Amino acid sequence: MTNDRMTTYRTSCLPMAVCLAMLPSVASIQTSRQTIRMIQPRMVKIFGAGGIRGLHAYGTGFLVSPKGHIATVWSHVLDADSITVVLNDGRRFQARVLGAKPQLDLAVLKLQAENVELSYFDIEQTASVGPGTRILAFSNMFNVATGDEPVSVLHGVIAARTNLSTRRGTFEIPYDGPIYVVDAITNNSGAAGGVLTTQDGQLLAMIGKELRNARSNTWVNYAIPIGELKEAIKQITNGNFVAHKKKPDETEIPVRYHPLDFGLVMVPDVLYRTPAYVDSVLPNSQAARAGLRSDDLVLFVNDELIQSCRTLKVALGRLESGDALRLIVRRANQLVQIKMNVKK
Amino acid sequence: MPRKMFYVIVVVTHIGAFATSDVCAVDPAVFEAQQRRVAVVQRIAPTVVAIFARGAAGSGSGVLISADGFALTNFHVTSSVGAFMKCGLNDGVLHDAVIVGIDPTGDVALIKLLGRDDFPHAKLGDSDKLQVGNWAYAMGNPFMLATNFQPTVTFGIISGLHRYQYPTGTFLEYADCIQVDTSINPGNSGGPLFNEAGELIGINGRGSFEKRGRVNSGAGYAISINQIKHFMDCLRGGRIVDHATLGATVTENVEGLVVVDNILEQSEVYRRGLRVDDEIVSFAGRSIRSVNQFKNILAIYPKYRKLPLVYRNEGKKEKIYVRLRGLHRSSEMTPQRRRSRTIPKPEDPDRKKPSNKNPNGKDPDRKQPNRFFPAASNLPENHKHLYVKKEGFANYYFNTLEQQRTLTALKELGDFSQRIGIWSFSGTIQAGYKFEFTLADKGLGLEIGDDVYFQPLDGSNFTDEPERSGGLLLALYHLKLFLTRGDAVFTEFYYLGSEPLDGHGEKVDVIVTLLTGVESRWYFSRKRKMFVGFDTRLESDIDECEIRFAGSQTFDGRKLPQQLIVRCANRKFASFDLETVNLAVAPPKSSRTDRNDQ
Amino acid sequence: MHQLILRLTLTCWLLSLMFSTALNAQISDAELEELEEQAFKQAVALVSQSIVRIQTVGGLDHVSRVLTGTGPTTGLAVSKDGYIISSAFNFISKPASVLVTLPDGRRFAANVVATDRSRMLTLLKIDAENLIPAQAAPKKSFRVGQWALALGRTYESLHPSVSVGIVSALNRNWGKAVQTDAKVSPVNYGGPLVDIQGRVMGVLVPLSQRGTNESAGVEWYDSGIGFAIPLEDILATLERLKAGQDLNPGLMGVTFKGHDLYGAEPKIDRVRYGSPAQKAGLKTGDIIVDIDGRNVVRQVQVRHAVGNKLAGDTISVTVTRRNKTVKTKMTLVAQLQAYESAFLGILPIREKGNRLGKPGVGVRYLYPDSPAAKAGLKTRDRIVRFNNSEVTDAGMLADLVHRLRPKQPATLVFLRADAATTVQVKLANIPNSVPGKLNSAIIPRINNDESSRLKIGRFTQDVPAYQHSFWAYVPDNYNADYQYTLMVWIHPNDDTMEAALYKQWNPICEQRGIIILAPKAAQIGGWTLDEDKFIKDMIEQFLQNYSIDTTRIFVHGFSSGGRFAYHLAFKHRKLIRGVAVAAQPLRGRLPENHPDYQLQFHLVCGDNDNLYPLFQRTATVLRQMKFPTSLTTIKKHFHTYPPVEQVREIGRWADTLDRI
Repeated sequence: MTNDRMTTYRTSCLPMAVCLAMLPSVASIQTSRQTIRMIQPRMVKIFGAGGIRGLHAYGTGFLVSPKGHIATVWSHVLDADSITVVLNDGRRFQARVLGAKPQLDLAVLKLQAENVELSYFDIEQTASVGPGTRILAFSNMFNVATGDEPVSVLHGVIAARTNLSTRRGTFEIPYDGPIYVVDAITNNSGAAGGVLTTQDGQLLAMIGKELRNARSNTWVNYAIPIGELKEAIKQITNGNFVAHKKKPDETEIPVRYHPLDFGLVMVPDVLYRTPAYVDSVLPNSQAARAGLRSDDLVLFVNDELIQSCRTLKVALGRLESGDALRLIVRRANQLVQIKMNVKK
Repeated sequence: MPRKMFYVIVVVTHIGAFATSDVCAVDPAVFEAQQRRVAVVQRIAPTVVAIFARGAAGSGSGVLISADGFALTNFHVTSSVGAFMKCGLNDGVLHDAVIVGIDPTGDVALIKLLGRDDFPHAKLGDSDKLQVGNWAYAMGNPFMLATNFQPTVTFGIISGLHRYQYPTGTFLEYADCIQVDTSINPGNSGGPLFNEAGELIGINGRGSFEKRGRVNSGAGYAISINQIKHFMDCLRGGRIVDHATLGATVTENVEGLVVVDNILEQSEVYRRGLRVDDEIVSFAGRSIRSVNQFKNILAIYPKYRKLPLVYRNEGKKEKIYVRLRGLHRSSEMTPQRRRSRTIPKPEDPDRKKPSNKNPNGKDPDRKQPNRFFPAASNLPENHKHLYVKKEGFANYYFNTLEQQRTLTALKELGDFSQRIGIWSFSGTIQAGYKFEFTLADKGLGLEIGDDVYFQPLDGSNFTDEPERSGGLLLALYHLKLFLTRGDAVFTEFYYLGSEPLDGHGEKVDVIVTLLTGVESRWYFSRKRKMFVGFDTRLESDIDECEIRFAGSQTFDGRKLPQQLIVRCANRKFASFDLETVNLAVAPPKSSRTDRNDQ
Repeated sequence: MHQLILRLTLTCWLLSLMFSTALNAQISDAELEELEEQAFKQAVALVSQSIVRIQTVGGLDHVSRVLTGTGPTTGLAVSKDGYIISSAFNFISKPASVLVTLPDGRRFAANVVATDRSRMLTLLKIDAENLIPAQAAPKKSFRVGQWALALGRTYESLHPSVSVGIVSALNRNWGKAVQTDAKVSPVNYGGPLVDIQGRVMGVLVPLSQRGTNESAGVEWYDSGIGFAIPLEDILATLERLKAGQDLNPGLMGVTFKGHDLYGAEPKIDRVRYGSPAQKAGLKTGDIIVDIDGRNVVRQVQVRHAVGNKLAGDTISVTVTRRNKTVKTKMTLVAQLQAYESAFLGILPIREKGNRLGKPGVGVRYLYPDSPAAKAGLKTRDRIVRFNNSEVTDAGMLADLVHRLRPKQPATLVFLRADAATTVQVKLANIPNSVPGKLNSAIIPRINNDESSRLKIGRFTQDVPAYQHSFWAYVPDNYNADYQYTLMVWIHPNDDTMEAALYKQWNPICEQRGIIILAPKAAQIGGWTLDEDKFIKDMIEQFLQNYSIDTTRIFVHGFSSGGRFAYHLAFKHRKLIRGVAVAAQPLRGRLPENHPDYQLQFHLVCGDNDNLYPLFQRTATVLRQMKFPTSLTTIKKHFHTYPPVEQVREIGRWADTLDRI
């Protein structure tokens, strides 16, 4: 692979003569149209529960083994007695849920059929790419593809590689690992469980559920890198069923510390977003010794942006004794850094 | 991984390079591809039309397809703007335009821009050659952004082909349509979808908007240009064109075969022998593997089109040609009495809900109660004559034009108008028998050998004379009427459109006539500008008498065929070689009464 | 070793750029896709150094009832010494503090220097040196169809976020913006739109011809409809912004005849008082033919010619006046003098279609000490001429008067017992008060069965098309020969108040001929912004069915209902002429009083209502903007619906909406 890339690259940038000389290796990369023809047979449409209260009864999945194992997203569509899976060529099968891992928003199905011809993804063969990389997205979005029609294909680029966990309170899904954000409108009804590939067909990620970014009030188009799902998929296909249990809510975390514990008196929290101004600092308190002053505006607690008194309380509440506490405050037009230690 | 590393290095090196020049070194190939695209856009943008209702009340898009100003758009765009509209082109000029023909079911409308005979226009592509992954440009006037008439150009790929979208209400069925990830937004309605080469491959009309209200969310739908080609001449004829049904519905059986589950006994396809549980093998030359494919094919042809159908009955393959029936009752096609029918319940789990909306928002069924006959209020004085209102037509003016064009072929044959006396043809049929036809006003007669057939014209019922000919005698009488009296004598007389003769032959223009329940279709070769035959049907839901002409000979200055080939019910009845023909002028008596009348 | 090879190949590559195009003819689609991808990444790498991350602290949570984002946003360095341009949208919440993080991770406190309200940009300054300013792509290089990359820095990642599209159109939004189908959203507002060579074409902003506030156009995010303000244009006005000068759209101060943007010629209808147009000597009836050398034939072209001009810019305007050509210059302004109509001081007699064929306009009521009263007019006099134009009906007289200003003189001729009298009057201001006593107009007796087909009395109706319903009251003595007043009742959150309102208003409606239309919010909990469409359609339906005077349609709201009432009135000015609100102050920026669609206000509030102070300010602001506004204070009254006396007053006020 490596060499291929290199040669490919070289041919594209050296004068004609060389280019011709390299033709065979050039041929080894394929156009997105060829890729699409290669990928389509590995995609399946899933039909299960739903169809009421605006819940769609269809979804997408992709084959990950010659035996008919299908990876898809863990969703309401799957909690039905009978799940129908329609292959790219229109063949229709029953399938059952083999196992699921809600933390990853992942489920694996198994076709109820023996020795059928199936093409599938080799989940060991996956790529990892950066922003600007061209991608193709395959999914049964809006369920427009019926019968033996292949699923819908969108094109785009990787917009960003980021981490859901770094944006606490922004997203409401169990999964909090790394994601690819794409600039195609991939995350539509029924699209979850589809895949992203590079334009030359390397498997990148599984398209996630529809999701709103609570901070920017926009829909996010994202996918979970296969690297994150690989182990779980293998576990489940090998029959080590993973029971699915909800993970604890952020809100259940006990509030351990308050601003006062450090000698900080904040301005009264009247607005929805009262800026975290220090009203006064208790004399010879820890904060005073560390050099905090009244009218300082607290901007960061250990690199987490503090947008209001409210978020400050949450951030301090989360601290544990012994933690280092690094504050960045705005004083006039200067940013000042303040270090303290969290005591018992 | 190596790929990534390598990428980083590229960047580093380049940042080095920036010191000298502040732009990226881009491979010329990339520039050229970009240049090609820019050139294509510049070439086709002038063909894109921004459509405005007067007073900029509503808006949509369209695309010019001929130098004399014919342009395509969505029915649901024109329905909200009326018989006349304003159309802006990207040279900044605003033109008046008039409605020509509409296809409510297919959501297509043909309009004509006025004021030029050298409009820039798009080249029609072949949408059957498309592949998923092909690039496609959409152009139009989303959100009425084109205040300077410069279209919005968006660029994406074909996401799916031969998609089927359920109708909204009775109309707006998107069958066999093209799905793109090119951004399609409200106002793109009626605008063109171009392939990478800048050829017109579709008309954008819908999007899956359910997620975010009225904003693109990754799926737009275009009516394929090949479907529109089937309807084009019907539309040019100023008609309200109906779609078709076979008279039979199909389903997928357990083996996944597509089989007939329901069939109308009056339908032609039933008379041709199709029965419940027969397997549909292919239709219109396309093999059938799903119900949607069947629906897709049915939906891309207009009512009356004749198509080949291959079916299997107990292992036995049969190929037949069937003429399609109308999808709607004519009452449904005329607005005042239009009933809105409910959407058919999809039968299998694998289906879609008809949740998609057309990008110009308004659900025409609700907002435009009487949208087939647009408000005559907005007629600009100087163009009034270009709009003629008539039931069943979007604009009858254009039908008269097509009639004139088609009927020039008759002048070739000479003047029959005075020959209203008794007509008689005689000659031999293949079998060697002599025959003689006598067509008088009192009745019609035919002698073949010793057999005699008679059809009185005293108002008694028309019968299939001679038997199994489909009413040959009456058919010839209608020929006489057609040649001598023309449109004056028929209760209906209009241009239908064009079709391949008998479903597979040369392209013919079709004139339809109706008289005392007897419908005839008259065929004129488009290329040879010749009258080549006609069909006459005594009453609906029986097989028609199909007469085709061969050769040509002249009897006292009037051209007639050498041979009449007569078929009925897919079987040949006989072919008549004309040897002597006598077309009498009006008998003196009747001619005197004529004079008295004057 | 590997590195070496690569460096070599790279140099080869750079060299190969000079090679002829013959080389590329051979390149396969697959390779091209690959090369393009590399080009995208280079372009991003080049600009990324100029893209900064912006975070805000504090600020409003709601702006015009849209929840504002709190996520990080993007900015673009435009000078070495710390100036950063961004989208005004990113500061819509008026944050208490702004933070900028440079690509190298350094953080700075930022100050807002100035705002460009024409193109919705905000200039920031940080105390940093050696920023790498973005390099502008020349506007003349822009081509529809070329690659366009939209970049942002809102995600926590080394690289900026990328969306790849093409240029969709140029000179959008009245010539302000370049349009792209790359995905533009809060994720990259304020970031750059970049060409394939990594040059910055423009700065991404939400835009829409419909709205002018910071959030207009946001509803189109990620739709493939995105806009960027050309960086060249920004740099051209950068010095003015650096100097702390806010930039505003430039106004001429004219309106056109026939509101048909595309169809109609730019024939001037009104020239606003004190406007640049007036100073330049433009007159009603002039037809604009040329602006700054750009020939114009349609109204829309005028907007294109002026749309990208700023207050302070000078333009040259050529008009034709009685087939003479007149060339003028004018300096555009940010704000026009508030429009103020003159006032004659009468209520016209209501004669539907004047079917008695009497000449002119009859006087139904005279305002005490009004110009008309001073001139000696009496009720039932008929005004037949005004400033040497003959008067045929009340609408015409109103228009003639509205085109003049207070204190202007006018000549009018009136008939009394068929004797014509000519008088001079000095017009006045529309009074901010309601007559203490006002006889109701005469409503003729029912003499035709035409009305019987219509629903009369109090009824409720569902409108399935909207999943909405409304209740309405049509006076039992409804008579289609009389033109009624229409009151649209906007109920407060959680309570339609149907019974109470009906009880109080029923007699008033009978007496003064008022029809009540009372839509119900889809969620009784409160109105959502887009429910105005439903109400608009209902009003239009009523106009079709019932005989209603379009100059006497008003919305009436109480408490939280008032908020939506204001919204309705300002959004549908072609339809609504009056606003009567109880106990709800008006928030946010006010549109101006439009001469073509005038609005009158009546405010009622108790002095014990803790909103009262705000409420008084509302009245003051409205009056400053020259909206005729009457304010009534209810003594010792709390935050509840007004008592009967003040409700009757609203009835009287509504009965004077057609005053001239």
